[in-house]
Amino acid sequence: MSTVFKALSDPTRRRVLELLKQGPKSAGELAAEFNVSKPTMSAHFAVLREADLVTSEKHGKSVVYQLKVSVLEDALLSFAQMFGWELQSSKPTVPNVPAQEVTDK
Amino acid sequence: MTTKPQNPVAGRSTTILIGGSVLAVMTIALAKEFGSLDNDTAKRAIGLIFGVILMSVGNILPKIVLPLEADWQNPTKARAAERFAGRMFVLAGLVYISVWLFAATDSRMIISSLVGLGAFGIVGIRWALLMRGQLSREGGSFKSDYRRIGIFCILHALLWVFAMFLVDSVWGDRASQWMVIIFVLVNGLLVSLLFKAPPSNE
Repeated sequence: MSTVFKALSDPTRRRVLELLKQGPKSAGELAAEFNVSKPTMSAHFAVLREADLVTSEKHGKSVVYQLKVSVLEDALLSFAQMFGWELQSSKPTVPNVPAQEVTDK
Repeated sequence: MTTKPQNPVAGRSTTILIGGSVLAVMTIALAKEFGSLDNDTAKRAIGLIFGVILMSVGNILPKIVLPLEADWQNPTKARAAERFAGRMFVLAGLVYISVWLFAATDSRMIISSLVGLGAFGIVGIRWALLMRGQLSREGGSFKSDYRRIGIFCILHALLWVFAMFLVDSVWGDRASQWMVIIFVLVNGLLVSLLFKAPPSNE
């Protein structure tokens, strides 16, 4: 459960989850919504995957993400959004994830 | 397109939920039989268990995500319908538990059954509206997913439980006993259909 709290404590990751509520999106589509580097974005995705809040599938050369939250986790997400909850140590550790994961070609 | 096995946590939760519920109901039945629990407390405890089952199933329902290739044409709509169903079942489970805890003894069976059946009705209508025209399997190779089948069977059984409780309250034991027989037949048919090998597109 601590991985879920860690994942939800960052506004970028919460925004990713909000975007995924609209439907499955590729890593490139998601990365285009943020003004952060690709390695940082990859690290955010890794944290979300580790917390089991998203699933990823490889389609050709792009990685497509889907939302995978229980009702309780969804309520926690809304709660965190509402109160702008943020941990000091919520920055993702950069990166042991290949940067190509956020390319979308 | 590649996919990988998913949702081990949700699969484990489903197994624990089914096993735990069966164990809890059997324990209560035995306790009642040996006089450790009075009839009213046993009924209330079983009512609470059904509420917890409904909440738990609702909670994990949106977590059981199928790979995109195994889904229907519009995964966005399917996900939205699942999230709505999950929230509705959790909410209904909370109300169901509250009814068994706080409602008057003579009315709680009818009220709780109506709450449960109402949740199924609303979810059914919402699902039908969201998925209207989207049920074609073209464009995806639908494959059976045992976690989903498990959840579906639990929900189907819960629907019958709520209906039986209502019928028992209104028409008495005999009508609900007939429903048990019908449930066994329908459930057998449903399980045999669900576990039939899915068509292969390969």
